[in-house]
Amino acid sequence: MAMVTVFKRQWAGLTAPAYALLQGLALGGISAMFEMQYPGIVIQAVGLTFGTLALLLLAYKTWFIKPTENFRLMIFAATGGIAVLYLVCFVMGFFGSSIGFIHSNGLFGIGFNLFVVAIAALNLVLDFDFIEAGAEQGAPKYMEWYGAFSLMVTLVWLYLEILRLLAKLRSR
Amino acid sequence: MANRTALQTFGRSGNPMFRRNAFQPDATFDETDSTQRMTLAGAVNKTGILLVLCLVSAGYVWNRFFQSSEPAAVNGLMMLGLLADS
Repeated sequence: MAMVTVFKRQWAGLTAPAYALLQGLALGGISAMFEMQYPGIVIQAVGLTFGTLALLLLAYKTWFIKPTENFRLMIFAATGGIAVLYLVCFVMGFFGSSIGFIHSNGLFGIGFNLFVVAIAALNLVLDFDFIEAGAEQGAPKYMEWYGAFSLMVTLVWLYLEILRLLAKLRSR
Repeated sequence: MANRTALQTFGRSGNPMFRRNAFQPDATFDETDSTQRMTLAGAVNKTGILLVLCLVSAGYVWNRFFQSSEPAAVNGLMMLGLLADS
């Protein structure tokens, strides 16, 4: 559904709500499994996710964080790097291998997870900027759905990373 | 803020969803009258709608998981949820 929305953004009015409903099914299950293992972890992760959203929105509105060209480039590069690393890990998983430190609950694993959370959070700034500039430029109405969809994608990513980080901290 | 162009702004977004020059003007831009244009409030409202939808389906799976003694009961729903990323 996410891919359909990206390629057919005119359909975002239908595909974005469908994406949200489907993603909820997956998130509900994943969250419940984490909750069973680490009671109370989900409310913490949800709180931290929305807290981060509020903080970043404030930072964006007060121009504390400015989405300059260099900022965008940096976040773009870091996000791409993480995506490639995750992809390599995913493929290595098929061969029964993995990049150990990423999933470890050691200091390096937690440090890496913190870095990913920070990058996911900073992606929110790009989403805010995208939505604001779209409205300024007078983009078509369906771009409201597309902007909301992209913000959801980032929030889901941020939530899952925070959940993973908390689980690592609890398992130590 | 005012004098930046959409392409400058979006061309290098880090979000994978924005990489395809999402705002590159196409036919739909020209044909759009002012009442059919994107607004900030509209995008905020729609984000709220998406969040509620996500919470509703997540809550449904969550309840099924904790009500049933067999956690595998939600496996099918979670698999269905994977369609979100396709």
